[in-house]
Amino acid sequence: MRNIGAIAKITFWEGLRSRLFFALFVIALLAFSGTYTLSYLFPRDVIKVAVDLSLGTTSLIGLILTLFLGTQLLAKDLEKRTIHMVLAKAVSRSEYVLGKFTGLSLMIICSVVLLGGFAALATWTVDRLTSDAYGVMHWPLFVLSLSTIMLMLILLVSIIFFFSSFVSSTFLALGLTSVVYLIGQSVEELKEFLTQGAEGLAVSPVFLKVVTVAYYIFPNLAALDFKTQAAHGLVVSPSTIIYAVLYAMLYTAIMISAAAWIFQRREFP
Amino acid sequence: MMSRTLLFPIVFGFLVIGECFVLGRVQVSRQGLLKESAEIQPLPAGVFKLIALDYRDVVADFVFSRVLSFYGGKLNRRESIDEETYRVIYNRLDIASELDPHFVDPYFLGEAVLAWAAGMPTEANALLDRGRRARTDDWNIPFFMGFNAFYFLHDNVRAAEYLMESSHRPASSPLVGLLAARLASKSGETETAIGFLEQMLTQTEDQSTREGLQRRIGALRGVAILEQAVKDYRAQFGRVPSVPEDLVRAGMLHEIPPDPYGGTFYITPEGRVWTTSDLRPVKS
Repeated sequence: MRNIGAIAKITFWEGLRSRLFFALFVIALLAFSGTYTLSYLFPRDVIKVAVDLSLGTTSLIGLILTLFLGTQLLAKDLEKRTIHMVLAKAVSRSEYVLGKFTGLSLMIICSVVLLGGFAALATWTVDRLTSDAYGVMHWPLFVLSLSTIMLMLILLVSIIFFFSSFVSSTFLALGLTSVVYLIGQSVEELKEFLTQGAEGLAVSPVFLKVVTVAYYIFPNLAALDFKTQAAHGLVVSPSTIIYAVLYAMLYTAIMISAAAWIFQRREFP
Repeated sequence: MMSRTLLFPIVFGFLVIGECFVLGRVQVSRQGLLKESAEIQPLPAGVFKLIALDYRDVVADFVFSRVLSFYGGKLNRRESIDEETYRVIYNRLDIASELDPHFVDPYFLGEAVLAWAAGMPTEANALLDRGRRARTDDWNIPFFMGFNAFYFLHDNVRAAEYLMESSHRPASSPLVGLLAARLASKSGETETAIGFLEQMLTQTEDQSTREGLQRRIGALRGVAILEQAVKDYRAQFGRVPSVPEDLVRAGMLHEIPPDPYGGTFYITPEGRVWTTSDLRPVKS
C-alpha cells in the first residue's frame, strides 16, 4: 500500500510539472474567456451556449491531457528503462500499475476541478449579466456533468493502461485508445440508429450483430455525457446517474485488473 | 568543377518547372472532382449526430451560428435568396435541431425564415415538430405550428390541434386557448371547442378571463344548439333551412338562443351555423 502511494505521488507531480499540462491550461483559459463573447452571438439560448462552450472546452482539454499525458507518463518508464529500477526494489508489478493509475487519476481529478472551476466562472459571469429570459443556469446538473467528464477521463486512463500493458509503442497505445474513445462515444447512437430501423436503409443482420457485440465490449462513453442535460436543465433520474457512475467504475476496475494481470506476465527487454 | 556548380541550379530549375507543369495538370484533372463534390447532397442530420461525438451541443451551436451569420449577411446586403439557398438553410437548421433538439434558436429562426420569408410553411412545421416533441414546456413552438397551419396552410383542424396543445403548456397565454376554440368551431367542431373552453375555465382564476370564457362558451352553445336543429331539419325536410327562424317555425326549437356577443346567428347554404359577431363583441 505504501508503495502504491509513493508511486502515485511521483506520477502526480510528474504530470503537474509537464509542459503540456501548462500549455493546455493556457489554451483553456483563452477558450473560457471567449465564452462570454461567443454566447452573445446567439439570439435566445445564451446560457445554453455558454454551458455548451465551457463544458465542451473542459471535456476536450481533459481528453487531450489524458491521452497525451497518460501515454507519455507510462511509456517514459518503459522506454527509458527506469521501470527496471522501480521493479528491482521491493515493488510488485501490480503495485506499480495501481500506483501509476492512482497518480494519473489524481492528476485528472485535479485538472477537471481546475478546468471546471474556470468553466463555472465563465458561465457564472454570463449568467449574472443576462436576464432569465435567455435561459437559466442549472448548477447541480453542471456539477454532475463535470463529474461524469472526470469519470470518463479516468476510464480512458484505464484503457491506456490496458493497451500499454501489452503494446510496446507509445504511439500505438495512443492510437488504440483514441479509437476506443471514438467507438465508445458513438456505439450507443449507432446501435439505436440501426435497431430503430433507419428509413430506407437496409441493415444487414450481421452488421447489427457486430454493432451489438461492440456495444458490450467497448465502453459506452455516451452514458457519461450529461452536457445536454446541464445546458437545458433536463430531468435526470437518480438511477440513471447511479448506474452510469457504477458502470464507469466497474469498467475502469476491469481494465486496470486486466492491465495488472497482463503486466505481471510481461517480459521486459 | 564548373559543371558541378551549375548542376544544382539546373536540376532545381527543372524540378520547379516540372512541379508547376504537373500542378497545372492536377488542377485540370481535379476540376471534375470538385464539381462533383459541389453537387453532392448535404449530409443527413443523423450522420452529423454520429460524427459529432460528445460535442453535439457545441456542433449544433456552430452550425446554427453559421446559418445566422449567413442569413444576416444576406439581409444586410439586401441580396435575394433563391429557393435552393432556402433549402440549404432548412437543412442546416434541421441538422442543428437534430444535434440538440432542445436548442430553441433554430426553431425561432426557422419560423421567421422558412415560414415567412421562404414560403416553406410545411418545412417550417416539420422543423418545429421536433422542437414541439423535445421542448414539452414551451408553448411557443406549437403556437407557431398552429399559426403556420392556419395562416399559410389553411388547415384549421390542424391549427386548432396545435393551438390547443400550446394552450395546455405552462405560461401559455389564455388567448391561445380562445384562438384554438375559434378555429375548432369554424371547422365544424363546436363541441370540441366548448369542451376545451370549459376545461380552460376550470384552470382560470382571473375574473375577467373567466367572464370572457363564459361568454364564448355561451355563444358556442348557441351555435351547437342551432347546428343540432339544422341537422334534424335536414333529416326531416331534406334541405337546409335558410334562416334560423325556419327552425322555430318547423318546431325544432322553442326560440333562437341569443349571441352573448350581440351578433345574429345565420345559416350558410352548406348548413353551417355561425354568427355575425364572429365571436367578438359587436360595437353598438
